[in-house]
Amino acid sequence: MLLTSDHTRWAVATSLAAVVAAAAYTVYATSTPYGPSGGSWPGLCFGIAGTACMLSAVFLSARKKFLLWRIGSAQRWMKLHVWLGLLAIPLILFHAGFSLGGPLTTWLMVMFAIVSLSGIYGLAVQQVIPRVMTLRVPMETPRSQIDHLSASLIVDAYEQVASVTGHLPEAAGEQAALAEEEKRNALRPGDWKQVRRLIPAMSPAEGSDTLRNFYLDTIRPYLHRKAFKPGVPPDFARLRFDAPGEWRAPVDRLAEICEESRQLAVQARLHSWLHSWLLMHAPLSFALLVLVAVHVYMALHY
Amino acid sequence: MATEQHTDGLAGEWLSRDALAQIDFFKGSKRPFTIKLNSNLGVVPEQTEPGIKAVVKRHYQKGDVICKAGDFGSTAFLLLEGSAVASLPSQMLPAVIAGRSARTGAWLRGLFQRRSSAAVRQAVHDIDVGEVSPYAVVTCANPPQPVALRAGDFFGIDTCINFYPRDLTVEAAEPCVVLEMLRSVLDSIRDAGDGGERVEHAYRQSAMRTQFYRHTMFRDLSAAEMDWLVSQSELLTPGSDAVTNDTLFGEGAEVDGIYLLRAGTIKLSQRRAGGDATLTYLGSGTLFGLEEMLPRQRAAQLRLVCVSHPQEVASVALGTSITVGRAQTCEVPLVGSRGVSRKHCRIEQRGDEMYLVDLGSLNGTLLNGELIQEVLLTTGDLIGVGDFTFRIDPVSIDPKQGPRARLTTASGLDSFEVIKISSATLRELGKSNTRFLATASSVAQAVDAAIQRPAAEQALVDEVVELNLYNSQNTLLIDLDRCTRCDQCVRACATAHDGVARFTRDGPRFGNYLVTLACRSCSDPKCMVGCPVGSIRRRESLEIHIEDWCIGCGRCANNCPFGNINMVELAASPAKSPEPQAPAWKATVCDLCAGYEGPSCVYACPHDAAIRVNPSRFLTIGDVK
Repeated sequence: MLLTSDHTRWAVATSLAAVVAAAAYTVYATSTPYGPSGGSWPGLCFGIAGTACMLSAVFLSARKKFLLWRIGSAQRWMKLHVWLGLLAIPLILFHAGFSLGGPLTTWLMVMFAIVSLSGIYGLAVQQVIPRVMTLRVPMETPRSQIDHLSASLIVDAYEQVASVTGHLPEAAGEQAALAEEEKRNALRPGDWKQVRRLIPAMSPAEGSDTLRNFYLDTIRPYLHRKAFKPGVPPDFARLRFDAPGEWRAPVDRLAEICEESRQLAVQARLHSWLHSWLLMHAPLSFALLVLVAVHVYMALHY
Repeated sequence: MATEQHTDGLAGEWLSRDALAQIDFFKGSKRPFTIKLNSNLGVVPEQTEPGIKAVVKRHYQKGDVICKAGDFGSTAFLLLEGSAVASLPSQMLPAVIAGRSARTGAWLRGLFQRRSSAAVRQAVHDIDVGEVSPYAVVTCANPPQPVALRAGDFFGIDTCINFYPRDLTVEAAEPCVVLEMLRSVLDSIRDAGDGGERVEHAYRQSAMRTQFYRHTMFRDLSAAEMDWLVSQSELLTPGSDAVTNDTLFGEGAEVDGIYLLRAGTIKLSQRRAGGDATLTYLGSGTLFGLEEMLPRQRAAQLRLVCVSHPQEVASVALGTSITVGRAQTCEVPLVGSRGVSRKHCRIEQRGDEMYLVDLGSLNGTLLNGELIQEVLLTTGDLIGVGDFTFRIDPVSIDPKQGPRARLTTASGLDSFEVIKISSATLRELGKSNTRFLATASSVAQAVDAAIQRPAAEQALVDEVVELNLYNSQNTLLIDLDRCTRCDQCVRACATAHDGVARFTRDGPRFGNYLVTLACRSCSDPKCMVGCPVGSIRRRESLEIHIEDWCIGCGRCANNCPFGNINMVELAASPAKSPEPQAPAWKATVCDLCAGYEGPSCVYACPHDAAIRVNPSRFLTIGDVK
């Protein structure tokens, strides 16, 4: 979530609450002869308030499961998640009196630290990476479509080359994909989403060996490379220089295809940076809640 | 009585092709009358009632409302027996977006406010100069007398063809029989000789009359003057003889009248040094081609205004060439100024246009912040000379004289309907109604002022036209700086629509905004044209719905210029034969989550990135990159 002026009221309210809590803690800590403790009434109050903030923050994931429920927009829930999550940090520290305690509470604090830091990291990357992605990946596509689109680009590149060189026996996979596409198109109603493919040349054009070799040696391996690896796209300068005028369109299109493929890899990498922290943040949040429940039970029981 | 049933085609007494041929109206047809619908369906014998009815017969008692002004629909009517009265209401309220309460609307407006002041500049019904959206509030200070309809009269054709809300309320004046039909049937009638001519005539008369009543300029006309105006005016479409290659008139052509845009979008462009520049795009209800109401020499009506030192430098009319510089001999002397050469730059008149030419000055001449050598000037341009900044301003317009040649080229961006009012008709109306001439002149000035825009705004117009956003009423934009690509919007959409998302989070970009592949609720929807069963339509609001009786022909999906309609393969029914069956398809389109409070995609976006807006009002110069 991008932190903009929309968040001012939330930020002010959170800061005020944190300042009030800090003042209360200072008074409490300085007036207690044996130092602050989580088991004291003030300590318990901080603990309850901190846990309430954590629980409120966790409700966001529950909200995401019920997308159609009109129980407040997801934006408001996200703001609640971010700001109450941040407020939970001082409250829990005040509850613990800035000490780790026994093994269970140590684990609790470690997990709380990881969850908090991963959340802050996530918030930080959300300020930067969307903008970077917008800037660096003009040919962006939905993440779930990257694999499909990469496969399409492989076929598109072959289509362009085959329109000059004729069918290439080395590209059997691409030919099979084209045949499969033709079958799918036949089942579609009317002209909807029908792709008009270029017709492969009946015989290789004069001098097309240059293009053929460049495709097989450079373009094809580049397009088939490992996913998420932008790599260095082929340099078309020499091919453009050598190619006769009538190849200009296919060569330009091939360069576009390679560039699109590179951008998709950049997008996939940025996307993983943007979302990978959630793999730690979300499950550990639930684990933290379980530990909190155990901690509460232990504290009340003993 | 409801005029349409939403689940199973039209409700009412079905008429077979033979039964239709017995009706007097169809007997005069020069060509064999065919109904495309039933033949396309191919599932019902000629004399058997089809599951989906394209034409039905209805009976009404005296006082029954056959159709009501403001209602959405997709059918036309033919009065077979009896008579009815058609009246234009004194006020029509704008259509609402289904599924949005007033509270939600307020919240959304608040959302827009945070993003751009442009969003609140105009509400849906608060419209541009001269423009009257078919969905706007229309108030007639002087509502026309009701029109009597007799057997054989058509009505509701505009709604059937253009899918605009109904203009007229039609009430049965006595017990009457009415034929209600879908577009496919109407098209068949239009193709059928005499019947077609009658439909065309009824349509043109009704279309022009309603459009005139909608426009401020014609509201003071008496009923007799209005009748005369309708009889003298011409309804032009891309196929008309007077229209060549979708162009109504070219720059430099003789001024022979004014135009009132009824449907579609018209682009006004002008030849510039770097090629044609789009001055503006006009929506339904706009009056244009008003050159004869404007000054004879546009160039002579510009002036140079010093905005940095208004007290020291007087403004100058740009009638002939003038020189700006430090020398006393210059027409605009900037004596003792730093950074200004003796003869710094000159503004030259070349034909109707003004050019700024740098005279080899030491520090250069700036136009809108950029160094120039020679450049065409337009209204609003800022000229930098040393410490001085000048602006090109228009002067007040004298409506008594107008140029004889067109200042712009007007061409259709898509299909359009334009009413042409000849100069002779205008003059006659001006003689008999002096208020009309005054209104016309003020409208001309307002429209002219609206299309004079600085170069920076020009980029915005170009971009909006490039992305076809001028026609969109409600587009799903995603702020890419905020969006984390979590796809919650897509998930919410799919959840609200039986697991099939109605949009794709992909599409062209406008600055930082992604213009998603989601229905834009076009004011002039191409998708609705040609549906053989009339299953794509508006119900009672702006959203486009595809009804359950869609036969999956894919025509709407092909017609949508933005690819925002998808064909979904339905789950295969249990096979009765071992032979593989062809898959069944159905078209799907974003319905703005009708039935829910607000679009789910916007509601479910946790990052405040997804917004539903009218793009041409929401996007600003700052968004153009």
